Amino acid sequence: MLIEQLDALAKEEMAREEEYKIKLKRAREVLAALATSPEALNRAGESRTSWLVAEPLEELSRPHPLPARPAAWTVLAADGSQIYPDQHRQLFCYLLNIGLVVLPYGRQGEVVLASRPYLFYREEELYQQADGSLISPELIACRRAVMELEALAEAAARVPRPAVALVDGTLILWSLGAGSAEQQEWLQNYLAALAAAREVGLPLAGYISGSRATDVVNLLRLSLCAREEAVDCDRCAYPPGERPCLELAGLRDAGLWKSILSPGERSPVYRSQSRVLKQYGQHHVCFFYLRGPEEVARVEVPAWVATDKAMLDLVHSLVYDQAVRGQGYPVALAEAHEQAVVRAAERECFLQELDRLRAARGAGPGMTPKFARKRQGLL
Amino acid sequence: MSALGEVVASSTREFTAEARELYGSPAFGSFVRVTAGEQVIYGVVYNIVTEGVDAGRRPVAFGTPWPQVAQEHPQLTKLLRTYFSCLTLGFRQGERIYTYLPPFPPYIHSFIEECRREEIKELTARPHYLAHILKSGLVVADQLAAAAIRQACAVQPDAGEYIRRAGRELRRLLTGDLERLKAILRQLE
Repeated sequence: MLIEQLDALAKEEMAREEEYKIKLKRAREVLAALATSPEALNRAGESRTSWLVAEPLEELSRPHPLPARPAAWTVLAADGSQIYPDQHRQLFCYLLNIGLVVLPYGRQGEVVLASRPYLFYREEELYQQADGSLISPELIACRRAVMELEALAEAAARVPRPAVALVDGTLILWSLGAGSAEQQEWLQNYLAALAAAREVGLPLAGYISGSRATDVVNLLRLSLCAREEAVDCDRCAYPPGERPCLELAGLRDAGLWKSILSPGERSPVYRSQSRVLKQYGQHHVCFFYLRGPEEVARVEVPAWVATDKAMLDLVHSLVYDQAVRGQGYPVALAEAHEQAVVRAAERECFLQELDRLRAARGAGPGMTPKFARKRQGLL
Repeated sequence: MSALGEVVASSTREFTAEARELYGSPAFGSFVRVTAGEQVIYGVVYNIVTEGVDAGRRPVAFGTPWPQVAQEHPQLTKLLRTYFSCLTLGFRQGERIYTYLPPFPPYIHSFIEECRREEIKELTARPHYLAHILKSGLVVADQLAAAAIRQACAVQPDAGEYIRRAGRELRRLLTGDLERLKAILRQLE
């Protein structure tokens, strides 16, 4: 029964691939046309839309070749993982494990592969000020992001230049946009950590593998909207099935650039229009797509890196070098992850130790009947 | 004398150490010492292993030879470790060296050092250690015996005479197994 369904799926995928190739070709044409028409580019850029639309900082369609890398350099990377609070395990605390990696190339230097756990259990760390509810995964992720940046800035003080620092994933804390006072506070902490990296002259980049972003494609799609005045998606004049922008629907930026860039090349730099970035100021997140040995990755950098040619070239050349050394994914990030990751067995060990400490002071095991039953079914 | 490694596994008849540096193990057949409380325990290195720190992660081929590969991938020096295992030969209590197993094995995390010349001299003065090695059941026992004799020769005043004595001891121990004896003696030429 499943085999037939899988067959059908394979056929469907084949059909989609054909359609995809046609869309890609069309997208490249639209990109080329838009690159030579500043007027159309402006109009597309001024659209009223809820989509994220890339704002090009460089000529729209031109690939940038791989810059020469320095003779000696250092790559830093940080990654974090966590154990979330879990009421079924009576776990009213959370753990952040921050992995830090420092790899010197072309010179002798200290190799660092390290991780450090931090446990948060105080009332003010665990409950949200506004309504007393348990801290949300978004806020935990934000604290983690701040701690990753702090670890990098601190380590950078002991590392010779040139150096670049990598984090896994986006620099855009989009979930904190129009948030509570607490979210605002964490956003400010994050920006302060970015400022600390800038202070020590450490170009920073977020590396996004398997990016599904469509900022550039969205710009192309808006330019297809054939009307004279600026586009307003809220009041789209076309019937839903006839919208010209559908021609490029389903494409992603990474796919588009993969069909254009050769290994080592990058796309132009764009400014992200994510709403939360209005508060980023000098750290406004910009991005480019980089053709690595395997995939096209999205690389995000703060504006102070994007607008500094030397820093941008350094990020471009060294991130590519890292992806080559790591056979497709930056070595430093892979190792930082290895350092940070809390595996299931380690999580269980942590919980058992907690249970042991509870038992020692006469408290019962920390689990709800639901969890206990899930762990061991009755037979 | 600086430590060559740190004990990470310990039992009555043998102990294993993590080398302080990657590929920094003492040579196969060399004599080492560990201080354990009142006693100093002596052993001979019989196995050297270099492997990934993480048991779940096997080293992969990079297509670049060592040490160049370590310059291109500096994390390797932290992700690989060298371990060496030592067969316990004897111990010192007070002034005397005893060439049989100590009452207790070394402590985990003790430091291992190279044996001092005088200690090797005393430990191997009489070739009793050869019986112990040959009866150890180790797959490499014969090769280990030869390697240990070569190390011992280096500190004995008359190396030729020492080899002849060790040869006689081997002949006694391997009576009826001429092929084995010849194989060991060939390693002493």
